[in-house]
Amino acid sequence: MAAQGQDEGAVALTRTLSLTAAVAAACGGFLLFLQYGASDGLDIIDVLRSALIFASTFWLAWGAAQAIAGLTTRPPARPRTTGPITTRTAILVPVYNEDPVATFARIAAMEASLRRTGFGDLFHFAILSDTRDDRIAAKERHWFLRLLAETGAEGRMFYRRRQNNKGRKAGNIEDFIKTSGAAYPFAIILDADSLMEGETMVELVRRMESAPDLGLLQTLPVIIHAKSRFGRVMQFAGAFYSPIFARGLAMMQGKTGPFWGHNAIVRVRAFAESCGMPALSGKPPFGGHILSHDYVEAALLARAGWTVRVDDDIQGSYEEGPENIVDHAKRDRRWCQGNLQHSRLLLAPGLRMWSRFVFLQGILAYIAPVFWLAFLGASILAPLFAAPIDYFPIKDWPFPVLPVSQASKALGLAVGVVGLLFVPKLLIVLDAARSGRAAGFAGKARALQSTLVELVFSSITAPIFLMYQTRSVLQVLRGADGGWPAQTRGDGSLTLAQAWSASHWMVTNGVIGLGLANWFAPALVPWLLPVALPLVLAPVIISWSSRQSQSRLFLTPTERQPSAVINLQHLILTRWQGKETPVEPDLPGPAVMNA
Amino acid sequence: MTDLSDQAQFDIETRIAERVEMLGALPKAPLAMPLQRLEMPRRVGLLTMLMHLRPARTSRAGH
Repeated sequence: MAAQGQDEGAVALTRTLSLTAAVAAACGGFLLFLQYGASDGLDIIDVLRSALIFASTFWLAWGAAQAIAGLTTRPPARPRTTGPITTRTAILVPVYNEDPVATFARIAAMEASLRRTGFGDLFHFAILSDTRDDRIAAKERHWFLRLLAETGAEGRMFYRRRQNNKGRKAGNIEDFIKTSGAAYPFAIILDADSLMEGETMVELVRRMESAPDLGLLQTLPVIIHAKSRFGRVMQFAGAFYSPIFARGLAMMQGKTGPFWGHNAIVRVRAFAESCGMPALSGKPPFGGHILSHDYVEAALLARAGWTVRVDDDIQGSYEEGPENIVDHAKRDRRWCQGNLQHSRLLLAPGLRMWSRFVFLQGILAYIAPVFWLAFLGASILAPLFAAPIDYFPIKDWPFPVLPVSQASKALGLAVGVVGLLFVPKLLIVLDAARSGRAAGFAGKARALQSTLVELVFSSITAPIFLMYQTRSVLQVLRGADGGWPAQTRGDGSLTLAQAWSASHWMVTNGVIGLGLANWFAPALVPWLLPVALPLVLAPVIISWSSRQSQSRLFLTPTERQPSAVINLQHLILTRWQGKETPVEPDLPGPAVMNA
Repeated sequence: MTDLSDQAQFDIETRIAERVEMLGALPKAPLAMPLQRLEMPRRVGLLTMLMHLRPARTSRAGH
């Protein structure tokens, strides 16, 4: 109990310090900009721009505070056993129009990895298909039989396809629990592109067995198999920065931790009792099925008194990411709608205050870019509202009074904003160099080079994401439902023509923005170039970044030395892709495969 | 002896589907998952009431 009290004290302190720092930075930004704007007389546009700076700076400072919290704290010791595990666990793999060969190869690799732990019999796989395309569903059935034949896991490996995909992924999991939930005390929820070491899954079960109040334990999945320039930058950022940010998040969230929808273990009884997800009243995008169900499930478990935790020290949890900016934006469109839908739940009865704050953060993550864009727009139009300069403000004074330049304040603000973006990442490099973590990223020098190039790359692509996110927010506010598009996986290289069709509207906006700035506020043009130029060049950037990467930068530990389950998956997939006919037509009888 | 007029035996997809259903069926162990309350019951707030205020009806006079 004393340790728990200490934990809660540390969480409260981290929250208070982080919030105070973020609010202080936001207030500083607000006041600096207000002074700058007031230099030629205060008007409504100045107040509006200062308010937008407040909101945007808060968001940036909050991210920086999370990194600082991650760098300055250590995770508390977790109660765990090291002996054999005894609990039966279901591994849920929801699929939705995915490539069955790649998905089932991951399952075969995880099954083999689990067998090596000696606890394979305690883990059952359930492939939960929501696939709508009958041709893909037929392939799923073929490959399921091959999977059974190769693994010999009959009775431990199941496949079912739903007739309708009511409730989407949350409904798919719920359907499993309603059918088979009582057979499994724990369930590891994966995505179709998830991969996990057998030892990691055993470790998850150990931690659940050791903490009876633990309802959900989230791992930090590392991105693997990235091939494109964009994909590899994201993979590096995920492996290098995310553990620090996740540790900060864990310190802030305490027992009200996150659920990211996959690569996590849940206590099935707790999940069943607490997470029955109703459809919200009204039509999508704000009503209907809850799109980002994972955040809500974490909040509901916490509401019911269960602990939800992210343990950033757990290794061997992987996922794959989008290979190009357009696929990333498509996924982001879905997340944007889901997060904005959470505005309906901010006042949901009985939720913990932190859960409400997490919803608010998720909303801010998508609203903040709109604030930045509104700020830029207001800045271009500001000269229209500015009062003419009065050089003779003092009556009967014969000499003109020249206004004092406040440009240093704007410059200070710009430096502060860039600092909030860059300093946490540079501190992470220093920490990695000090702790020896940089060795996994090909050494200190290579890690530093990769970070610097990543900073340049993320600065260039930030305006493109800003535009995609703003468009997503406006679409959702207009009432457009993004639906449930299947994720594009695999090679995602885009031609210039494809990139143009996905981003020509950005080029138009960039050119118009620069034109308006040149017309109304020519002094603003150099300030706008870092945003406007990437927009004008968006098709080139999108296409270039989607091409295969040959760089020796952005190396990650798993790329340099793939873990056992990654190697297994590669071997199985290569072998399977070499066989065109998985099933011989001599059914019925035992499923005979071309092994 | 094989009955060649029975076309169903040549429908590989159907046979595979049957086999998958037989080998891959999930264990039957149902668990209840009650729906949670996420929305407050709709109540008419003061602002809504004010916005819906209409001038009091008066009976028509005359005629």
